[in-house]
Amino acid sequence: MKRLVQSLFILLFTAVSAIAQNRTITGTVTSKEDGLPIPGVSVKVKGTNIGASTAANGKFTLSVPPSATAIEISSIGFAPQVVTLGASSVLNISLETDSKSLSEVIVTALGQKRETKSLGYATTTIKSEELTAGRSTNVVNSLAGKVAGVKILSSGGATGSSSNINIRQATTFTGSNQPLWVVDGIPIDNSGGGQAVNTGSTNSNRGIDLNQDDIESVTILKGPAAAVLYGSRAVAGAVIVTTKKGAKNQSGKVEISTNYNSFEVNRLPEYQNTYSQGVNGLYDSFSQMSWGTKVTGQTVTNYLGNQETLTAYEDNVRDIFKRGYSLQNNVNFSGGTDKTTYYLNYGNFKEDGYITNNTLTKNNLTFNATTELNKKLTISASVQYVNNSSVGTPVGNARSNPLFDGMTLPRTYNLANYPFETPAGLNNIPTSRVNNPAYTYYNILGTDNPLWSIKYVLFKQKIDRVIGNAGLDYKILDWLSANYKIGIDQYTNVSKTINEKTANNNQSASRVGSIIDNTTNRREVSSYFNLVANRKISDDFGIRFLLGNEINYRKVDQLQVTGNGIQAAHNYNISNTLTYVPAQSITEQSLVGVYADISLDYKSYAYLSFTGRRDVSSTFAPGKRDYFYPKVDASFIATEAFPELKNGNVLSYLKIRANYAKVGREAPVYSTGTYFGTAGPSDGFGPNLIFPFNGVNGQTFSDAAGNINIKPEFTATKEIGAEARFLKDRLTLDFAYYRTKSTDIIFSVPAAPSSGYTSTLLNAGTLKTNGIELMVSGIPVKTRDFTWDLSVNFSRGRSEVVELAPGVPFIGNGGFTNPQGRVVTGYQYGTLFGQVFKKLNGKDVVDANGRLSSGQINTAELKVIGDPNPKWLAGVNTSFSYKTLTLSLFADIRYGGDIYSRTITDLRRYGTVAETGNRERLYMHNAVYADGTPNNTLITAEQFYSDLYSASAQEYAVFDGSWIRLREASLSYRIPGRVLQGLKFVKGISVGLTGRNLLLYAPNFPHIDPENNLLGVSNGQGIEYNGQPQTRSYGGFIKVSF
Amino acid sequence: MRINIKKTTFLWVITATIGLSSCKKFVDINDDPTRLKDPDASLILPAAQGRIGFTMGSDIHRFTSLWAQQFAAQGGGSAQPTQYDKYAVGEGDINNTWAATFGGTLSDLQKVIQKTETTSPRYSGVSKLLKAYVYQTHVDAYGDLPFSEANGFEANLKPKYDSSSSIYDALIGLIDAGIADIKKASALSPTTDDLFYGGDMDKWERFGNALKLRIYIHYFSANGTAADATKAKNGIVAVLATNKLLRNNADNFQMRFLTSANQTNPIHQFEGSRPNQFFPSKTLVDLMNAKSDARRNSFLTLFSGSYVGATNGLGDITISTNFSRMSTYLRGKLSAGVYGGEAPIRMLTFAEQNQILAEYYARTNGGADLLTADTYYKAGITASFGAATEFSDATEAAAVNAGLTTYLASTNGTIAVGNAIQKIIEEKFVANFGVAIEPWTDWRRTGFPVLTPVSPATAIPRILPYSFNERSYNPNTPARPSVFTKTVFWDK
Repeated sequence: MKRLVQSLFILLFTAVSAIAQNRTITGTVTSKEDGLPIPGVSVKVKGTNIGASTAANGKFTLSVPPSATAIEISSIGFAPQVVTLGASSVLNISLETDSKSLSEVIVTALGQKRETKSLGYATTTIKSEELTAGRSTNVVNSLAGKVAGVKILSSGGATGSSSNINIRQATTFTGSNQPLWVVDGIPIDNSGGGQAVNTGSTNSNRGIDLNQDDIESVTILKGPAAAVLYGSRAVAGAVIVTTKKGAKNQSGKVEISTNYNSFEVNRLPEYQNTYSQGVNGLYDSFSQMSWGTKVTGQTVTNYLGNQETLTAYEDNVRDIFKRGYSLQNNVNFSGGTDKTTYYLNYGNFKEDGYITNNTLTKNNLTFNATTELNKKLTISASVQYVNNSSVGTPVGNARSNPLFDGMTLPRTYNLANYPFETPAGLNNIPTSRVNNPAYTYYNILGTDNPLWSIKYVLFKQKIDRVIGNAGLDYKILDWLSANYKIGIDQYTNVSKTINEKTANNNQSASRVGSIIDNTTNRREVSSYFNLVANRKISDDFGIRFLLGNEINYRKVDQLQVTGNGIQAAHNYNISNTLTYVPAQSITEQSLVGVYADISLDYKSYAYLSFTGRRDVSSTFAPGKRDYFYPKVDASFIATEAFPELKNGNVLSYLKIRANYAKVGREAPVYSTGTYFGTAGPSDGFGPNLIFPFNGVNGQTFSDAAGNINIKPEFTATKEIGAEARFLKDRLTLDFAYYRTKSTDIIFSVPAAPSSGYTSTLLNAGTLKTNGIELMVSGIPVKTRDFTWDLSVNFSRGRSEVVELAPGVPFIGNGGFTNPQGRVVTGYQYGTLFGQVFKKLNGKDVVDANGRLSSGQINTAELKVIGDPNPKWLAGVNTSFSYKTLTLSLFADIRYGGDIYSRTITDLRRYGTVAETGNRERLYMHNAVYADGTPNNTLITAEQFYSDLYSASAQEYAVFDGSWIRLREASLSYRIPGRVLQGLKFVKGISVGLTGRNLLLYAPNFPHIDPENNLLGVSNGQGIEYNGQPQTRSYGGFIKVSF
Repeated sequence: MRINIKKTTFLWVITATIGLSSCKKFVDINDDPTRLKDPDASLILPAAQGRIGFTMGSDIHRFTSLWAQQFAAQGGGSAQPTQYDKYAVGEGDINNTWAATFGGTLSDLQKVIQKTETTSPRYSGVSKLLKAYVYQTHVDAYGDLPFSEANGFEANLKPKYDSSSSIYDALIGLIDAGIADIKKASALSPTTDDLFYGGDMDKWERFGNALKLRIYIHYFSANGTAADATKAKNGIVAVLATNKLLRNNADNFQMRFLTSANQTNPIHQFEGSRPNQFFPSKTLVDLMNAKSDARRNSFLTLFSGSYVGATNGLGDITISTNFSRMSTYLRGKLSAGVYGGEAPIRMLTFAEQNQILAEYYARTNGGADLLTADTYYKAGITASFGAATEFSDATEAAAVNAGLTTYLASTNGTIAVGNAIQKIIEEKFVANFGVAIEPWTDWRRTGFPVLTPVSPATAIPRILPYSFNERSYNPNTPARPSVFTKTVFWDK
C-alpha cells in the first residue's frame, strides 16, 4: 500500500521541473486509516534542516529552496514517507500507521530515547488504549497477562485491593521483588498493599494513585540489563510510565471522557441446599456447620429462642455482596505552539464496591508543559496532584473479616432474618449456648456478624500526593547535550482503623475496641544530571556516550497512635479511648550513583553498548558503601547486514540480541545496627500487653540482629534473544531466554532463639532463575477496511534456591506456622509447606476408628504441599477492526501454581458445598491402619470431610490454580471524521463497551476464583484465606474531543 | 526572557560538584533516630518482667493447665485449645512462647545483667533471680535447655544444651549470686520500674529463697532416689535457716495487671478474644465440689445453680458451653457483669510455699514431723482462701471467708498418715489455679491429683516439645521422641 501511494506521488510530480527560487509548499497530512488530520507531523526538506510541523488541522506551510527535490514526512506511530517535489505547491499526504517501523523509538532507562533495534535487551511497551481496554481500578491489574515475563497477582476483588507485580521471577529471598516505578523519568513509590496475616484491611499498592487515562504508555524494562541505569533499585526491573503530553503546533484541544463499569462477584461456591445448620445430622442453631438435619420445612427454635421454619437459603452468601460500580471522568486540555506544548487533565474516579462501605474516590490533576526557550535550551515541568480516599473492610485471619465465616454461612441461616446489631449498634455475640433474643449472631466461637463488621469495622485512608518534576535540556553542540531533571514524589497518607467496640479481632482484644490513627509522610527526591554525546565517527561508525549522576533521597516519617478501649460507641475520635500506644518511625536513606554508558553502532546493523554504574548507598556502613557493577549488551540486525536474507519476502527483519548485566542491591534501612524497641508481648490469639505499663516504659532488645558488615547483594543476568518479522512484517516473533543468579543475598537468617536472636542479617545464599519468553504477533487478515490482529505471549520462569546460609534449612516467606511459603534449598522459591497426615507406604494412616483424627497428623515436621509458582503464563490478545469499529479480546492463561485455599477447606469441612450433600451413603478414607492393613471402616460424610479438610492438616486443601480467563473485552467505535464534519466543534467521538474477567475456566479449583492472595503485595504467594472474591465487570465509555 | 546560558551551566557544575563532595555527609544517615541502642536498665527491666508475667498466662499456661486438667478446652476441632487438650501440641505451637522467653525475656535480663553487674548490682541481682525463675519453670516444662551458652548473641548462634539436672544445680548458685547482688551498694536501684516488688529488695530475697524451696521439693518424686532426697533435705534446711521466706500473700511472686485495655491479664484477655474455648476442668471442679470448697465462689461462676467443669478431651467434638467459667480470682473485680481483668498472673505464692514445706515435713524425718506439716498445710489453705477474696465484692468475700473455718475444721483441713502427700498436692493443685506449669510438675512428681488421660491417649504428657524454630536452626537440639516420655531429670 505504502509503495503504491509513493509511486502515485512520483508519477504525479516527477514530470514537473523545479523553479529557481524559494517557493511555498502547503498541504495537509491526514491519517490513512480514518482520514483525520494529524497534528505535529514533521515535514522536512530532504537533506536540509528546513522543516515545519503540521498544525492541529494537519496543515503545514514550508518554504523550500529551489534545490529541493523531495520532502520527508515523519511522525511517531506512522510510517515515514518521502515525497518527491513536483510543480504543485499543494501536497496532500496521507500517512499509514506503523507501529513497527524500523526506526521505532522507545523510552528506556533515565528517559533515554533509543531506537528499539539498537537495544540488546528486552523491553515491552503497552500503549494507553491497551492499558485501559479492560478498565481496572489498579494500574497494575491493567498490565496483567499483557507482557511476557511479567506476573501479576491481584490480592482480591474488593475495592482498592492491591496487586503484586513481579518481572522475571524473584531475585532475592526476603527483600522486595517489586520493580521500580518511574513516571516521566522520576522514581515514584508503589509501596503498600502488603497484608498481615492476622490483622488489617484491604489496602492498596500506591500505584493505584495514578490516573490511567493520563498514561500514554508503559514500558517494562525486564531485568537488570534493561534497568541497570536506574541502579540498585531496579534489580527487579522497572516500569516506565510516560504520561500524555501536548503536541507541538496543535491548537487547543479539549477531550472529555467518561467510563462507567458495573461489577459483581464473578464466582461463588456451589452450595448444597438440603441440610441444615448443625452437626451429626441434628439442627444446632449455634453451630457454624451445615451438617444438620434434612430441611423439610420443620419448625425449629433458633438461637434467639424463636420458632422458625427451617429453610435453606440458596443465596444467603450472595446476599452479602451487592452490585458495585465505578465511574471515571476526565477532562483534558492540550495543545502546543511551534515551541511550547502543554497538557492539563482533571480526572475524577469513584468506585462503590461490592461490599457496602467499600469505596474509593480519586481526584487527579495533571499538568505538564515544555517550552523551547531558544534553539538550545528546552525546559519542561510536570506536576500531578492526587487525592485518594478509600474505605475498606478487614481481611485475612480476623474474626472481623466479614468473610471469615461469610462464605460458609450455615445453609439455613439467612443474615437478613435476624438483627445484626443491638439497639445501641453493637455486637452481641453468643457467650453461651443458651438462646437469647438479644444476640446479634449465631456464631458461638466469637466471629463477628458479617453485616455488623461491614458496617462498623472500617479502614479509612486519605492520600494527598504530589508527583512533579522540572527539567532542562541544553544542546551544547549539535552532538552534545546536557540535561538535568529533578523530581519529587511526596505524599501524606492519613488513615484511621476503626475496630468498633465489641469487635472481635486482634486489634480489639477482649472486644474493647480500638482506633488506630496513622499519619505517614513519604518523600522521595531524585535528581539526574546527564551529558549525552552522539556522533557519527565515519559513515559507518557511530558512538553515543552518556555520563550521568543520580542523587536520590527517601524519607518516611510515620506517626501512629493506637487507642484501645473505645468508650462511647460510634465515636471514632482517638481521645474516646482508654489507653494510647504511640509509635513513631522515621527512616531516611540516600543513594548517589554515577554512571556511564558507551554505545557503538556500525552501519546501523551492529550495536554494542557498555554501561558501568557506581552507587554509594547510605544503607551500608562506611567503607562498604560504594559498589560498582557493569552491563554489556549487543544487538545485530542480520537482515540489514545481509540484505539477501530478505529475498523471497519471507523474512523481513531479524535481530539477535544478547546481554550480560550485574546489579547491586541496597540493604534494608538501619540494618547495620541492633536496636531496642518498645516491648509488646503478644500471643497468636489476640491477648497482648502494651507499654507504657503502670507508668513505666519497657524497652526490649530486638530479636532481629543487624549487621555492621553487611555488603551489597548482587544479581547477575545473562540473556539472549531474537526478534524476527516475516511476510512483510505481518508476522512478528520475539524470543528471549535468560538466566539470573543472585549471590550474597541479604536476608535475616533465622537463628535459634536460644542465642537471644531469632534472626541475624547476613549476606548469604544463592538464588538461580531462568526463563523463556516468547511473543508471536501477526495480522492474519488485512484488507482496506478489515484487520484482524492476533498476538500471543508466553512465559515460563523458574527460581531455584541454590543455597541458604550454612545450617539454615529454610526460611519462611509468608503465611502461617502452617501452611507456610518457604525458601528451601533445592526447591522452587516460595514452595508451600504444611502439615500432612502420617504416612505408611505412601498412604494416610487412619486411627482404629478409621478416622484421620488430629492424632493422625504428622506434627513433627512440615511437608511440601504445593508449588505456588505457575508453570507458565500466557496471554492471547486479538482484535478485529472494521473501519473504525474494533473488537478486542484478551485472554489470560495461567498453567499450574498451587494454592492453599482456606475458603474451600472451610466450605467442605463445614458441609456447606454441593459435594458434601451426598449424605445418604457412607465414605471410607483411602488409607491404611497403623499396622499397614487397608482401612475398611465406613464413616459418615461429615466425618469424612471434617477429617480431610481439617484446618490443621493442609495437604488436601491445596488446589491447582490454573486458569483461562477472558480477562478483557472491548468493543469500540470511533465515529468517522467525515460524519462529524457537520458538527463544528466536535472533532472526534469514540464510544465503546468494556468488560473485565467475563469468563473464567479454572477446572481444578473448585468454587472460587483462584486469583486471590492473602499476603497481597509480597513474596509469599499461594495462600488464599477467606479472601475477597474477584469481580466480573461490564461497562462503557464515551470520549469526545473538541 | 533572557537566560544567561553560561551562568546556568556554571551553576549546574557547581551544584553537581557540591553534590559529590558533600556526598559523605549525604549518605551518612544510617542511624535510626527513633530507636535506642543502649537504654537504661530501668527501661529494660519492666520489659523483661512484663514479658514474664504475660508469658506465664499465655501459651505455656494453656498447654500445661489443660494437661494438668485445671482447665479443659471447648469450641470444636478448629479451636486450637481443643487440640492441645488432646495432647496435640506440636513443635510449631511452641515457637511463640519459646521465642518470647529466649529471644525476649532472657535477652533483656542478659542485657540488664551485663549493664549493671558492676555499677548497679541491685538491677543485676533482680535479673538473676528472674532468670532463675524462668529457667526453673522452663526446665520443668522442657527438660534440657540451652543455659550456659544461651543468649550469647552473635558470639554463639547455636548454643549447646545443658542437662536439666545441671541447670537445676546451677540455679541455686544463680539465686545465691542474685541475693548477693541485691545486697551490694548500687548506684541505681529499681523502684516503680520493678513491676513485681516495686524495688523492695527484702521481698526479692524472700522470693529467691522460696524459689529454692520449689526447686528442692522437685527432687522428691515418685521414684526419686535417696540421694535426691538428701540433696533436697539439705537444701531446704539451709533455706529455712535464712529465716527469709515469703511471709504472706503480699510477698507473692506475681505480676499485677491493670484494668485498661490490653493491659489486663492474658488469661482474662484470652477469655475475651476466644470465648467458649477455655473452661475450668471437671477434674478441678469435682475436686472442689467434693470438699464444698468455698473458694469456688471466687474461682468459678455458677452454671444453672451449681459448679460444673468441662470434661477434658471432648471439646473438639461435643461442643457445649454448659459449664462454670473462671471468675474474679483469675479475672479481677466484677462490676455490672464485666470483669476488670486486673487479677495477677501468680507465679509463686505464699500458699504454695506453705504446701512445699508441708510436703517437706510430711516426707522427711520418718513422718515424725507430720504435725508441723499439718501446720503448714493449714497455713497454705488459709493463705489461698485469703488470696481468693482479693477481687471479691463483700458478698463473695463473706461466702469465701465463711467457708474457711469449716474447711479447716473438716477432714479437708487436716492431713493424716497415709494421705498426707495426696492431700497436700491436691490442695496445692487448687491453690495454684492459674499458675502455669507447677501443677503439672506436681502431678508428674507425685501422680496427684489422679488424672485420667483423654481418649484415645493412654497417658498424660510429661514434657513439652521443643520449639520448631529452635530445632530447625540449632543442630544441638536433642531429639524428642514423644511428649509421653519421662524426660526431666526429677521425673523418675
